[in-house]
Amino acid sequence: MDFGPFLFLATLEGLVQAAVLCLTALGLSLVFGVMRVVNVAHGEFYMLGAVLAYWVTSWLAGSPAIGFALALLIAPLLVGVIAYLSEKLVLRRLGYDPEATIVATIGILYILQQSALLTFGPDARPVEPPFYFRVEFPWFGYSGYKLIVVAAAAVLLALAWFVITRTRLGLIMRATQFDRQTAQNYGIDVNRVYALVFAAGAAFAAIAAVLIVPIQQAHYLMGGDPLLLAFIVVIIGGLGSVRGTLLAALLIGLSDGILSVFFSPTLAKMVSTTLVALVLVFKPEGLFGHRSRL
Amino acid sequence: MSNGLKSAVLHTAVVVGFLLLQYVLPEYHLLSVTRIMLLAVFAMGFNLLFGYTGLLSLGHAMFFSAGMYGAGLSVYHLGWSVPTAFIFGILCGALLGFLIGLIALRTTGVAFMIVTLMFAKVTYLVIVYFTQYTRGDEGLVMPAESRSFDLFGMHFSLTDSVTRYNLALGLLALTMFIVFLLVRGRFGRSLIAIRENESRTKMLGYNTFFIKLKALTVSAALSALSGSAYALMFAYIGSSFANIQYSIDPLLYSLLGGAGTILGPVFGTFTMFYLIDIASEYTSAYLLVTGIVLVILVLYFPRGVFGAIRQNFCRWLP
Amino acid sequence: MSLLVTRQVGKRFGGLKAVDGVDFVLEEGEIHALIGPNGAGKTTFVSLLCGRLELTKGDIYFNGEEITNMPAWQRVRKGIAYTFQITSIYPNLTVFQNVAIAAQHSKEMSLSVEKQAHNALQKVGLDELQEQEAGALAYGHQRVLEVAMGVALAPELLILDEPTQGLSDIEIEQFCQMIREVNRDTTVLLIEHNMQVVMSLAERISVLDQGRLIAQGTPAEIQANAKVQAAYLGTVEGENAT
Repeated sequence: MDFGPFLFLATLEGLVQAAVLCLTALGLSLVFGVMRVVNVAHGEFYMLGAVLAYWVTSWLAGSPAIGFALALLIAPLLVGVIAYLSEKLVLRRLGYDPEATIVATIGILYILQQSALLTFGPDARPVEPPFYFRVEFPWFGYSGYKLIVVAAAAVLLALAWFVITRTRLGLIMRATQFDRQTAQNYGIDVNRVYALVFAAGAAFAAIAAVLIVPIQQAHYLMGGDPLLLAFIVVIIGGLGSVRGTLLAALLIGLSDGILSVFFSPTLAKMVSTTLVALVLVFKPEGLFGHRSRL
Repeated sequence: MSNGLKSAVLHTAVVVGFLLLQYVLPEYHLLSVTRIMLLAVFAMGFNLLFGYTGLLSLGHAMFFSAGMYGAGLSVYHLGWSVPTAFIFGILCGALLGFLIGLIALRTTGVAFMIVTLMFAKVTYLVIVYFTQYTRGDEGLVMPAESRSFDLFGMHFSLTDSVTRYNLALGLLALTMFIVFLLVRGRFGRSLIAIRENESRTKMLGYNTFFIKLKALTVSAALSALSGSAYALMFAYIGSSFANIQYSIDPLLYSLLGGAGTILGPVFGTFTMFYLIDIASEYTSAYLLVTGIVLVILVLYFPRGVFGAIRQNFCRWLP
Repeated sequence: MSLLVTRQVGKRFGGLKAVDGVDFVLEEGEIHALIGPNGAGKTTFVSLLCGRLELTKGDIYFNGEEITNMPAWQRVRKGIAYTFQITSIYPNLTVFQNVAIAAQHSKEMSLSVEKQAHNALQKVGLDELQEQEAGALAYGHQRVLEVAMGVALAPELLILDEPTQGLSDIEIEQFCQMIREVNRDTTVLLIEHNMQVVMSLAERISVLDQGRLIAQGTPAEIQANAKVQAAYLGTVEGENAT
């Protein structure tokens, strides 16, 4: 294959990556933006989404399309409920202390991951795509499902954008993010907002996983990489900023996808992780701008 | 009895307890306790930074593995003697700690946690990337000629489990002694001052960055000492020792036993090791225990066992 | 000899000139009060002196040595101690530990840390509370502890930022007594709102208004100064009258 078409293929792959990453990172960013806590268990909510999708689709093995549609509904809902409960039972009791919350979410990470190992088992399992068709480009054919993933992510993101910027719910969220105390004084039930935001953040990760699982297979350890990538996106993009998160996800997803085609993925990860750690140290405004530096 | 004498007696008693334990333990547990003592050294190194200085690193596996690979690779590829490789491993960890500190200590709190987490991830990836030297996940088994060494006119055989036990005990006692000296003196006072109120400490004439850098370097060196000894005693190095699990474990041990106490991490390591050991007999999902204990500790016992003892009974506990 | 001299010192926050070209001289051994209306830049100015903030222009000399770009901790080692306006102590440690942390960097090298901490506590009258947890102290005692930490450094210059704020009249009296005691071997620069304290303690007074130094002199000179009355004293007397 010539260089041009090869690059085009790499870009398509990158776009699929970016689409899924946008959804995952948006969830993480939402939680940090509104609640000012880092959720290390975010990757496990993603994993749960994929595992639940496997269960729902294998339960409805006869009709992949219906099964998949059902999974797209049930998985995020269940994951949201689990997140809602962990917020209520753990995070709220810690008073959202930033450091204690990280330690607690590490605990939740293990609990979710190991529970999946107990019930789902150690094997990777495929989920059938809801449909098969190939889009024929002049140089190669490409999975139509992957293009649908990109489109679906775009629609969902537009929807999230609309909710956050144009609705009353979004206004309440932004008010809580801006100043917790004042929001409370205006009669906003901050605890409820936090619980809902935490649940919604997890649900976004679950949706991303359901979309990707027909391409990638479900596995109990699959939460690690998306967590790292989402961190990277959130740090580069700056927090609370939906626009920044989306731009960064597009950038990282595309470059990660493209780089992985040309270079060893380990090397790509090594370099990008180092760079991001340095961004966090030397240009922290994006992520931790509200902290006064000593 | 003065407080200093009381704690000296207590810590000596713990060491003597471990010394006597070897005469009653069956072979399997002798091996377990050897591992526990080495991991306790790791936890104590971590705790110097976390419990005393108030800096929570989520990447200490990189220092443990710097020691492990520094020692292991130099034995495997360069044929160095065991004592030389051991010291070299510690130096690797100290150097890495110093360099990471220069960068990461510009941040505090959550940012510090994430930056250390990321650097540890990079370290892991480096080990995997240079798989032709490290064999990545599969790892390397140390050659037979590195299983014994002579030092001070004595011969040590690392295949003998009692020798290993006593070497590990020696390292544990040494670490306890080092940490004891560090935290009781002027240096310890400055660490605690930084933990309690850094900006005030700065305005009392402390170069807090430099003190934190020193604490991180010592903490990394002790972690590397543990990793270095682990590689040489058990004759194996592998990338799984560099993954996130080994960054979380010392945190878990310190929290359980009591952060900011000397004996806490030792107690925590002992307890968690056996909890996991028992759980793994029943299920492959034994890390579930880790998760549950972490959540319970954070929610209900943030001071840990020895922290609670100090709070309520003996305030002199160092 | 002048202990501390500033030349055209300025600090800008964005467009705001918080401190604007201040030439200031502090003589060795004096008690010097820095006064001025709220927002005059007093705290900002002393923060520049002790290094908590970086200045945007000018130079600072201490004992004839330029310290303009020296980090805060190093200035403390040179002998400039600062006590915070909002008490900043170690609430989880004992009173003794609080002071011992400071005494570790005392300019007085001949005595042990413990001995020095003890002396400092005695000087301010906190020695009986030394085993108490600092966070559990009454507010007045916390303020005194804050000063004790400054004293334990055995500094050449002690900067106090509104030390009497929130203290009762009796406590204020004891406090003035203590400052005179401290002043025997330490130069004192204090920011103060309470005019009675200023007039009873200060040998010289500097007046800041909108970031500028508008007057410097003895209490009598300052009271007679028309510019000061216009900018500041008049309003305070007005407040006192009500």
